[in-house]
Amino acid sequence: MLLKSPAVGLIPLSDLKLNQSARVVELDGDESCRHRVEEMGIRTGATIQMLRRDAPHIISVDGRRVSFRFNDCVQVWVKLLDGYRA
Amino acid sequence: MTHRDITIALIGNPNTGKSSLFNALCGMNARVGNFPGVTVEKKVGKYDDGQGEVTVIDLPGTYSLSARSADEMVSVDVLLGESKELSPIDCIVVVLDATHVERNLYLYSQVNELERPVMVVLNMWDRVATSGVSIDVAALSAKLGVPVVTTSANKRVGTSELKEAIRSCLANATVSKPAVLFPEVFKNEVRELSDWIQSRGRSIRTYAVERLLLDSGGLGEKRWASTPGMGDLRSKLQAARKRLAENDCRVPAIETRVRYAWVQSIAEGVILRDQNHRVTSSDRIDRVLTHRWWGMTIFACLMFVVFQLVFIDMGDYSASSLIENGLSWMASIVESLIPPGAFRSLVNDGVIAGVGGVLVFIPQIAIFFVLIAVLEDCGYMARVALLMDKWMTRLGLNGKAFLPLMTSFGCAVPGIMATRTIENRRDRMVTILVAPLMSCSARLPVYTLMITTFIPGTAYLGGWVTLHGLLFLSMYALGAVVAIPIAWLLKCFVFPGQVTPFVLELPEYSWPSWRVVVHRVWEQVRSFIARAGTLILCTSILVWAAGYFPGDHKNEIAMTLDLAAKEQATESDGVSNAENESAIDVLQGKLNETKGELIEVSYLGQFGKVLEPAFHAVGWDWKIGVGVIASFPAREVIIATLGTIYSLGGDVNEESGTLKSQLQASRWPDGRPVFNTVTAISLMVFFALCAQCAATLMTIRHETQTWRWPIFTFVYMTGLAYFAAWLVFVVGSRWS
Repeated sequence: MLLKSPAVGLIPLSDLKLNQSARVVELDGDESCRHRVEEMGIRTGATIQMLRRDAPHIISVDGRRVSFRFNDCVQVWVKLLDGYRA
Repeated sequence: MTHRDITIALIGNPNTGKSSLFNALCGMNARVGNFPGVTVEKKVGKYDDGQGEVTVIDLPGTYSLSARSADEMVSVDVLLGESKELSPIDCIVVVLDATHVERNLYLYSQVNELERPVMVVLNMWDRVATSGVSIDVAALSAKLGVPVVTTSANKRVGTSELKEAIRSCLANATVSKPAVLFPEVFKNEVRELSDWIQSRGRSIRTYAVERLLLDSGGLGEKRWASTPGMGDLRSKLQAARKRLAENDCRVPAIETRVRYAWVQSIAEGVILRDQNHRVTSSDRIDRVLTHRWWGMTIFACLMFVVFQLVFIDMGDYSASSLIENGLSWMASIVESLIPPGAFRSLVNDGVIAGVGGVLVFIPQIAIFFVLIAVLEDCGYMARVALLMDKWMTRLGLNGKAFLPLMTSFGCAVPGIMATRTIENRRDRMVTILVAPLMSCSARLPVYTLMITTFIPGTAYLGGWVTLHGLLFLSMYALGAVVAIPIAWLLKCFVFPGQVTPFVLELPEYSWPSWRVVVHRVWEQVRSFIARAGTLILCTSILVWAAGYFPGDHKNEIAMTLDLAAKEQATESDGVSNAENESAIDVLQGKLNETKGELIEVSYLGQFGKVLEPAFHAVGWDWKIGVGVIASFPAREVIIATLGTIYSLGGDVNEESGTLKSQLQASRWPDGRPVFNTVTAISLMVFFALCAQCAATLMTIRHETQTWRWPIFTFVYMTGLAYFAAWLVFVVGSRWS
């Protein structure tokens, strides 16, 4: 249900490879879950870097370290940032 | 200078050093309690700044000031001065992590709308220089329109400036002016809704109306909809939300959008951040500590050390045995001061044995919480939740439930207290309710007695594996295994609700502050002692009274006096007199027999006989049944009770040879032995799953603020334990 086809060039946050950086473009899924995730700083426009690939992942969100496992109730679509090791 | 007592509130995100700041302001002068009806911790401290007494309320760390759950609502109520418990807040101090101001300003933007005097503290200022951030404090203060102070609470820097700023904030009455955030459509809806509510004769604050619109299905909505005359509020809200969605202003998405946009406008030109990703020392540590293999290995080693330190058997020098010795010393003092009779028995067998049995756990609880507080304060515990999350999700719980459950293998009381770190109420309640299923150290004496008395010491694999060891292990595993379906059932039927995402901020590693550690440990121990002195005391006295009355204790008293006289005679002679000693033995035997008879006629004994059919179904006689009932205050009490019933006097332990032989010799009226392997296992299984522990039930009551959950826990665990014991007995009897 969450996997509505995203705009071109967007990938799910959890698909980022180690040390890849990206910008959050869109959040999908249950409204209140999404709200909570956004309140934690994972929101449209935030810069993210993947620091731990195994779930639960660790990411850097605008400089803070956040660990997450979305339980399929939220999908975060990100766009890879140029100039980073892809 | 006028004297004035004031009340301030601290609010901030988790990991902003708010506890350190609270400590720096109030020192040890703080009380921790609960807000009524919710599981939120209420921390209130005081200090005197020369101009009067300042009461500081430390609100729980939060990322948002919404009103979705009862726990979140508490903060809103306190800040708006609507809490019945506390006096209105004169000044709200918003604590921000100076290295992540933008992130923390989200919460500030909500507090800002409460139209109360507000000021900002940039804490952890000492880290700013090394974190690649530069902040123009004066410009920030000008942009926000409120005073901004910098502190490094862990180093006690900036505290006095903060105290002054709080006073001047009050003197200037800087009431925050809410920034214009929401678009006109939203504000129109808010205005319309508050007019409508006011037309029904109710007053409501603008912020509360905003929350009604934003927190769909939240507690605020429930609370207002159930107010008389507000029945149609829900349909009103739904219509308003629909209109907003049509005007490109969908709730709740609009909130994060406008607030983050506002945060950005504030940060622009004020906060300069080194844009490059920095690999911090925390990242380097995390590469090892959260590594798939290394992380788990280090964690396992660390836990091994923690448990060794907590449950280490230091023999006669351990604090626990010092307390035990102290208790028996007190009992002997009582014996020398009070003549034998109901009163001495009450003091010794009721109060000292009952409350003392609980106080013996204090050293373990204190050591455990010192270690946990150190790991917590340095930032490691967040990583533990992350590492264990994968395993805990298989139990239907999340990573934050691991520590409480693991602690419960030692003792459920600190385990349940440790669930405070789980902010999701549903997960927290399920963890609290399954924690007592973990096999705690109080079950060990029961297992030891049953296994060593009734289970043959068969060894396999050349002596490496013994039947005793296997049974011990299965008893420990039983609770944990049973907890899986129970947690699942509780989640489905008792606490239905949607799945929530697991999102956890990982604070930077730092050296633990001993002040915070000492404070936290002291709070835990203090509340534990307070409970032991109140409700556990009452329970112990009740069980004692049921076992003491209405028998005629005249013979027992006469014999006790006689025995004491004979013992004293032996002592004063200085030489052991063989004749006298055998007389003492005979008398002691008779005394114990009398005590056993007295228990049989007591209310407890009568009760046991009434329930005998229920005990028969699981293969126990009334004596075991009475032991089980009497062990309601604490599981290990059953050994002392069995000792009394089997006429050994109350002073026996699980290693006591006489108790073992008495149990083996015990017979049904038709001559069959009462205990066999099956009975022993059924009794062990019962104790593995039952809730015979007043301290645990009181802790659940304390943490959930209602009697419903301790009663629920007692009923479900006793039912489960009885059913499992019955199953063991029925299957086992057919098999053997």
